[in-house]
Amino acid sequence: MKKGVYSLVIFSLLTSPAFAAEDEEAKVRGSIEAGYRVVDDQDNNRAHFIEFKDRDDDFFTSFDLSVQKGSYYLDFMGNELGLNDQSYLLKGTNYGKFSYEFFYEETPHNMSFDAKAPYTGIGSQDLDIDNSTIGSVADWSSFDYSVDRKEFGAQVEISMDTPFYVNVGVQRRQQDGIKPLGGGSFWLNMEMPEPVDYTTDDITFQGGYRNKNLHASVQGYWSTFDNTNKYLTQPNTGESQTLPPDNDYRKLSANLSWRGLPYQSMLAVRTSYSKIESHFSVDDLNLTAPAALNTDTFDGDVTYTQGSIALSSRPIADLDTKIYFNFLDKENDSSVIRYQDVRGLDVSNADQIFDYEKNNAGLDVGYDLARHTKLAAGYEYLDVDRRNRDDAEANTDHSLFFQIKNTSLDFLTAKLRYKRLERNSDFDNKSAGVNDPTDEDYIKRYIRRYDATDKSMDEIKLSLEIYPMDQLDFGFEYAYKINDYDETNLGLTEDKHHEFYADFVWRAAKKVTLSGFAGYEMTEADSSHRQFGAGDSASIDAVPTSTSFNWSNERDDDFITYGLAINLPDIIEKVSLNISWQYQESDGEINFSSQDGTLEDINQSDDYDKQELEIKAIYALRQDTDITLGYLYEKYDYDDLQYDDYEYSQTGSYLTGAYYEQSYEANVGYLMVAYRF
Amino acid sequence: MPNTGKKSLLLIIVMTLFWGVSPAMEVQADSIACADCHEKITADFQDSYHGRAWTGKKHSCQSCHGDTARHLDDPSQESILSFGEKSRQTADELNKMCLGCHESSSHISLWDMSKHNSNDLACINCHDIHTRKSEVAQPKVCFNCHSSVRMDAGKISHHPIVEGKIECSDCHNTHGSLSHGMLVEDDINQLCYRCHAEKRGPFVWEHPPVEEDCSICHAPHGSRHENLMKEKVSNLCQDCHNANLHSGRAYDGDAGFAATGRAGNIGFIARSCLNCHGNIHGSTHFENHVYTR
Repeated sequence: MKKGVYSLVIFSLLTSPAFAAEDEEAKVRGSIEAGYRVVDDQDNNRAHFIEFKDRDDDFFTSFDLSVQKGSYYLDFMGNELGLNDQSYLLKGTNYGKFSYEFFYEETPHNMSFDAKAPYTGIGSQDLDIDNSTIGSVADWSSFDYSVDRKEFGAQVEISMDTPFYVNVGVQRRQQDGIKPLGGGSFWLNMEMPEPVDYTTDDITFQGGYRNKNLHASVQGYWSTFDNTNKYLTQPNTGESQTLPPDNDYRKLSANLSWRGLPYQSMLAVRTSYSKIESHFSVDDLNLTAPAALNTDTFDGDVTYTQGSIALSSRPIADLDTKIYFNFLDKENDSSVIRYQDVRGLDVSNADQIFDYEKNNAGLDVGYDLARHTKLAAGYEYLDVDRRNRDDAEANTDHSLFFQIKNTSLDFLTAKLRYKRLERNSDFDNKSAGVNDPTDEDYIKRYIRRYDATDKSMDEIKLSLEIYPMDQLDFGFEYAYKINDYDETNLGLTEDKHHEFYADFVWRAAKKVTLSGFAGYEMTEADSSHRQFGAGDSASIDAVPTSTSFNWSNERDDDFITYGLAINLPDIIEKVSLNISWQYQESDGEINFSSQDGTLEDINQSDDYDKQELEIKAIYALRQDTDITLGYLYEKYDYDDLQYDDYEYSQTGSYLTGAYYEQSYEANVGYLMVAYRF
Repeated sequence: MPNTGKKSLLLIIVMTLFWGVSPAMEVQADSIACADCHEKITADFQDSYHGRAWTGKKHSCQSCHGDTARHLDDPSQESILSFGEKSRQTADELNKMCLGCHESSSHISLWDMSKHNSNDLACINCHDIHTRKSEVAQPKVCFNCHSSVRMDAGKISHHPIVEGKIECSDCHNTHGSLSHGMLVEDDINQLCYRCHAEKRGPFVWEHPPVEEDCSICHAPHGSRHENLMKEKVSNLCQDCHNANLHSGRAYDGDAGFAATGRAGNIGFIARSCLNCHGNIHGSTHFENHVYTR
C-alpha cells in the first residue's frame, strides 16, 4: 500500500510542470480497471498455477494515466495494485530534451507448496535435525519453495536538443524466499531448503554523441551482489554447504557506428572490458580448513575482454554484404587453492581454473534477383581455445547458410533456409598414458562432450505465409535439425529435431475474428554409455559382466500444442464475446538397450497435458465504460517416473517434496469495470 | 490482501476525479482533410507519441504519408505512401520515412546491419504508430514471426514472458546488435548475469560448460523440463559424464521409488543428480566435493 502512495506523490510532483506552463491546457487521458476475482484451486498443488502470479480471492486494480502539455508528457501505469505481482511504471519526457523513468515490479516464483522437512531452522542458514519429528513424515515441518523478486529503480536521459546525451540508471533487485538445494553424498543425501536473501544493486551510465551518420558512446555498468547467507549447515553432518558468494561486476564499453560511408556502407565497432570479483575465507563459510591448505582466503578474479567490428555495404545495386569479426577472451586469475585430502593426496583447483578465447568471423551476402526473389548466403568461422578443459582444448567451427525468399505473388511469401556446420575438435585424451583398463581413468579416452566435440549439423527451415483473401492469413513453418557427433563413443551421439507450426487469422465481415494455431515438435536424442564399478574393466571392448556393460538409450520427446480463439464484437447489442482455448501435451519416453539385456524402458518422462479455457463477455455500459464478466479454467496433469510413488525418507536420505505434486485444476471467475477518459 | 486492493482502488478513483477529463482534441490544420475520410485514425493519432511530440510543430499526416493532393482526387492506396498490409512500397522505402527523423536515435544505430533489416522487416511491422500506446505489444508481435519461440514460451518451464514480467527486448536488441542472436549483451553469460547475479561466481571449483555458455544446458525461452533444462536430468548430465560408479549407471525404468531390490535410486528419483550435486553452477568450498558442497 505504501508503495502505491509514494508513487502517487511522485506522480503529482512530476505532473506539476505540465500545469505550470501558462499558455496551454494539459490533456489527461487514461483508464482504470477494477474488479474482483474468485479463485477455486487445490491449495497444495497450486504452485505451478500461480508460478509467476498472485491469484487469490481478491480485488484487483490497474490504471494507466497520461498527462501532456505542449512537448512534455508523462505516463503512469500500475497493474495488480497491492498484490504480490504488482508493477508500476512512471515515465516522462520533454521531447528532445530529457526523459526519465521510475519503476517498481514484484515477481513471485512459486516452485512447490507444502514441502516437508525434518529440520529446525527452515528459512535460515542453520539447519539441524529435529529429532522429535524425524521418525514420522506426517510430523515434519511444512514450508513453501517460493522466491519473491522485487525490482525498483530509475533512469534519466538528458540531451537538451543537442547531439550529446547522458543516461544514468540505478536499480535494486531483492530476492527473498526458499529454494531447493541438494547436497550430501550418494548414501546420505539431504534435500534442503536454501534460504534466499539476495540483493543486487546496479548503476549504469552512458554518454554519447549521435547524429544522422554517427553514433559514439561510452557505457559503464557496476553491479554488486550480496548474499546474506554464505553457507547452509547440512543437518545430517553439521558441515557447511556453500552458497553463492558476494561479487562485484564492473564493465566499461565503447561503441561506434558510422553510416554514410562509400557504397552505402556502415561501420560498427564495439569493445568492452569487464571484471567479476569475489572474496571469501574459510571462516566466512564456517569451514574446517583441510590439511596443508595453502591459503585460507579465496580471491575470485575473472575478466572478459571483448571486441567486435562489422562493415555492411551495398557495393553494387541489389547486393548487400556484411563482414564481421568478434573476439572474446575470458581470463581467470582466481586464487589457486591447494590442500591434502583425507587420503593424504595433494588436491588443487589449479587445473580447474577455466579460461577460454573465442574468435569469430563471417561474411553474409544478399542479392535481389528478379521477380521479388532474394538470395542470401553466408559463411562463419568460430575458433575456441580453452585452458583446463578436461577433454576438448580447442574446437573450430565452419558454417555455411543459404536462404531464398520470394514475394512475387500477392498472396504468398515463401522462404527456405539451409545451414550446415562442421566442428573439428582437438580432443585431449587424458587417459593416453593409462594402459590398465581397470584404472578408472581409462574410460576418458572414449568420452566426448557434445558442446565441444566433433560434430556435423544440418538445419533446414521452410516458412510460408499465405493470404488467399483480404481477411484471411495462413502461416506454415517446418524446421528440421540434426546433430551428428561422429567421433563420440561415449556420450551424446546424435540428436534430431522436427518442428511443425501452422496458424491462421480470419476476419469475417469485421464482425468475427477467428484465429488458431497448431504446433508439433519431435525431438530424438541417442547416447551411449558404459556402466562399470571399482575393479571392473572400463574398456568398451571388454566382455560384459553383470556389473560392467555397455548400454545406450534413445530419448523420444513429443510436444503438441493447439488453440483457437474467437472474438465476436456486438454479438448482441453492446455485448462482445471473446473465447480462447489452448491445449498442450508433452510425451517423453526413453528406450534402453544394453549388453546385459536387463534394462527397462521408461514411458513417463516429463509427460504432461495442459488445458486453458478463457471466456470473456464485455458489456459496453457507456462509450467510456465497460463491464467484463470473465471465466478462466486451467487443468494441468503431470506424470513422471522420477516422482511416482514418492517417498520423503529413505535410508539415510531425506527429500522434501520439491517439484512433487505439480498437477492442478483451477477455476477463476472475475467481474471487472473499465473506465476510460 | 483484500484491504490493500480496496484501498488502492479508492485512491485511484479519487485521483481520477481530481485530475478530471481533458477537453476536445486538437487536430493539425492540414490533417483536417484527412479526417474527413479517416476520422478515427486521425483522432487516435492525436493521442499517440507522434501526435503528442508534434503538438505545436509543423508536422501532419503528410509528414509520413507524403503529399496528399493526389490522394484527395484518387483515394486509392496507390496514390499515397501507404503503410498498410497491402502497401505497394518496399520495407526499405517505408523505413526511409521513419529513419528520416529517427536515424539519429541511439536505439537504432545498428539497424542498417541488423537481421530484421536484412529480412525486410518494416518499422510498422512491429510498431503501431496511430494508437495511444505505440510500444510494441510484446511478445505477441514477436510471436507473429518467431513461432518456435512462441511454442517454447508456452511450455511448462519458461521465463515469465507470457506473464508479461519479461519482454523480448529485455534480452534482445530488436533494432540490431553486434552480438549473435541480437543480444543486448556481448554474449549469453553476461546477459544472464544481469538477472542471475548469484551465478557469476567466481567460484573455487568451476563447471566448464557453465562458464562458457549457459545455453549448453538451458533453453532460455522455455522447455518441457524443469528449470529450463534442454534435457531431463540425469540424461543431460550423462551426455557428458561417464565414470565408474553412479555417473555411468543406467537409470532405467527400474530405478524409481518403486524399484525392485535397492529401495529407489537417489541418482534417478526426484531431482536425480541434483539431489546431491546441488552446487552445479560452481562451488566455493575449499575442498573439492564435486559440487555437492
